[in-house]
Amino acid sequence: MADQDQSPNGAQPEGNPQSEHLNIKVTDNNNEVFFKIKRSTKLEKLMNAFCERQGKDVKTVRFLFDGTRVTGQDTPDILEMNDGDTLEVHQEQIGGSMMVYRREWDEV
Amino acid sequence: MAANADMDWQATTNLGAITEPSAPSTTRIGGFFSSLCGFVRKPVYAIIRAFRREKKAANARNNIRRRVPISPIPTRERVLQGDGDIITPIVERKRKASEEVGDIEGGDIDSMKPSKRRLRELDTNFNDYSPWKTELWVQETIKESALLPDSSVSQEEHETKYIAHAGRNRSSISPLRADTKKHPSYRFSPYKRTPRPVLPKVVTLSRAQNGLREFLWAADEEDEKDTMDEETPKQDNTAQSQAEPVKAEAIGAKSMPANLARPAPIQQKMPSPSTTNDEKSTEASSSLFDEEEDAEYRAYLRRDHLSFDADGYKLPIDGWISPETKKWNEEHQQRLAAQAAIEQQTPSRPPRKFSPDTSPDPLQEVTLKVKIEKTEKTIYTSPFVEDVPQEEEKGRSASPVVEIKPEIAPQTKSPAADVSAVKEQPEAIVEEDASVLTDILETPAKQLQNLKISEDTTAKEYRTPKAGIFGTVRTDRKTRRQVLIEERELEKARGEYKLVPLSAEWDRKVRNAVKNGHARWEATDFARVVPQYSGFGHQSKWLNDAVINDYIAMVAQHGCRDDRSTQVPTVAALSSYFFAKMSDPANAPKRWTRKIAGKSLLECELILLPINSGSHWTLCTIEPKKCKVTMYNSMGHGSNASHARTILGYLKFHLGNAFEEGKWTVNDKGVSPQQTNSDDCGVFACTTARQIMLGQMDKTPYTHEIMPIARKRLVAELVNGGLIKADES
Repeated sequence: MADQDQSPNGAQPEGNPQSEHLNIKVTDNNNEVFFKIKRSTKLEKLMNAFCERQGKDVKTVRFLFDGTRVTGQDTPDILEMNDGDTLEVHQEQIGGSMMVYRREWDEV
Repeated sequence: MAANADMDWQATTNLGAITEPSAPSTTRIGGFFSSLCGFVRKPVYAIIRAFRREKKAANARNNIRRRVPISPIPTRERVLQGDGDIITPIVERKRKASEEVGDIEGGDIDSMKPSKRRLRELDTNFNDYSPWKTELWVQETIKESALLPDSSVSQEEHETKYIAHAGRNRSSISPLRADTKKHPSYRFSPYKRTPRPVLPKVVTLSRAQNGLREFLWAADEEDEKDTMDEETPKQDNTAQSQAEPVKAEAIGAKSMPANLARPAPIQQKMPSPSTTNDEKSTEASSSLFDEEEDAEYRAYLRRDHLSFDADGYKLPIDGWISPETKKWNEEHQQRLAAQAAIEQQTPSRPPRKFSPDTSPDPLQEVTLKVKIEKTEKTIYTSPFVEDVPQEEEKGRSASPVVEIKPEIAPQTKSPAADVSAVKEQPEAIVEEDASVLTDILETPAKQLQNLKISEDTTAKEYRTPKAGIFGTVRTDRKTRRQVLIEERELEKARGEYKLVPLSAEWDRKVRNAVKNGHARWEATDFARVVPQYSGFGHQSKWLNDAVINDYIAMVAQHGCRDDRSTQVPTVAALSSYFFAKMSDPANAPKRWTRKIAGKSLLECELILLPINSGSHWTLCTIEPKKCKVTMYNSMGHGSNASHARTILGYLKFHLGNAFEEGKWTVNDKGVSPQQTNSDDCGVFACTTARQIMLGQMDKTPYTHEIMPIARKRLVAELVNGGLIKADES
């Protein structure tokens, strides 16, 4: 499959496979910021830098790599990231019920 | 305002009658001031102008021109040569920056300095623990420790050093300087924090003093010698008694059985005949060192112990008995003897048994008795009897004390007494024993009688063996897979993963996790699930994506536990963020669905997809083998149908030609228990996913009443990293 071919494989050389630095794109739907990061650097640093840039709270933001949540302790090595990979930033999702909204509507 | 000012001015200056108070007065004042300023201004300007002119002239004289930035003209030749001057400094800076960072907007993370705020967060106590301060402290302590008196350093050397040090730092010497410490300014100085060690004074003795000291020493020694000579004859009598504890210790240290810690039946006050004169003399010489005192001191050090024998004697510790214990044991023996004497006088009462090991089995007692009668050393009937070496017992029996008082010592626990006790025991007990015995004897026979062939549990179900290469018999064999599936079916039928309340231990773990967080989940995440366990009063009971996504991923992982590594997962979980991507299937990230890419999705049995829309959690399940999409909503209303449509649209795009239009069915009202409050929908979504995966949703649907348990279980299972069985929870 084409999709499977695209999937990151540590063994496959892509340009410079074991280069120490990676360029990682961090997108927020609105903004795209590139970061250069070592393979062994914890992503916490990147997350903090991005949040400071965008004026967000780190706790209310989720960084997703391939649909799974990235924690601050992860490194590009652990996640097997490649050069040019993207981290998606999403807002925290909270849900209880729709009842609250309905009540609000009733009040209005 | 102006009028007021004018009035004031008029009042103060009193310039006569004015017909028009406002306008003319102002003009008059302005004119007055302007004329005054004009007078001043003209000469000032003249001076400034003159100064400038002079300066210009001076510059011209010195060939200094006005500084104007001149950029070199970018001619074609210069550009081709690559002259650096052509590029403006701003452009140059940008180029350099891009070279360093690699033309990246966000910058190099590793070379990036942390922000000031971050720094402040990191080390709040910067001043207290800063490295420069610690180094200063270390240096200082090293400096001073070198000056402290050392045994290896001679006194003179130390003295010189001390004096040198004192010269350098007078505050330690001069009282005047020391007084300055009381000054308030000193209170705020940093030097106060590192107090200097108090150096001992160097005592130098004069020659005369030294001589006197030596003389005194000599006198003391002589005195001591005298006293020793006097004491030696006195100690001869008591030498042996004093030496005893040490002896006991020496023996006990080797391999002394516990019983020897007890005293001999009656104390031997006579010295044993084996001790010769030579030994006495050696003991006398060694008794300069007060042994009794030393033994006492040791006893004090080790503390009197409180571990008892079966008979109530104190046991030695590490084969060592303190004299106090010895004394205690002797007293105890006398006590026992007295007790036994009383009991003998009143034989109706059975003697008390101290040792719990003596069983009521009469057979054993009989054998014991026989043994004891054979040896004829019937002092103790405790279970330790056999361990006692014979020599010791001989010595005991031979000791004269036993002959003197034969009534007391041996009869404390003689076998005769034991036997009589057995006899005197009420008959009921004996009967009971007998019945027990008969039971034991008869049980195999009874068991045999009761056994039936039909209930034979020992026979196993042996499967017919495989047909060999040359075999002709074909047998119905099961693959491992089939066996596994059967086992799982059984598991489902048994309901091993029921939602039962947690045990106290798990409850404690949950409480701990909610308070402190666990692994990747922070305390705030868990506090949403079990708010009553977090220490912060009112909490939101609404679950967030961190818990829900991870829990559903864990549920999927549980579903895949029998999978091969290369297989398409049986149960897959999608992130709650994926639903937003589904509305635009062409741009949906393909790497998120790597494992179920393309047609391989159809090999999957169950896909769990939590949906968060309008701050409400719902669950969507996709069953590709059955071509079913089901929406589970714990509120019973909402935009389930539209969600289902988006999902179907995504599937259509994802599968391409493999998508069969007519086959797929959508059930936007999956049977789900309904919530009764406005907080639990996240828990419902999680629990529904769990039950569906376990196949329990149709058989034993849960209700809203189970929510408090389900909330705790949710945390417990996340902490556990897998579902918890009902009997393990």
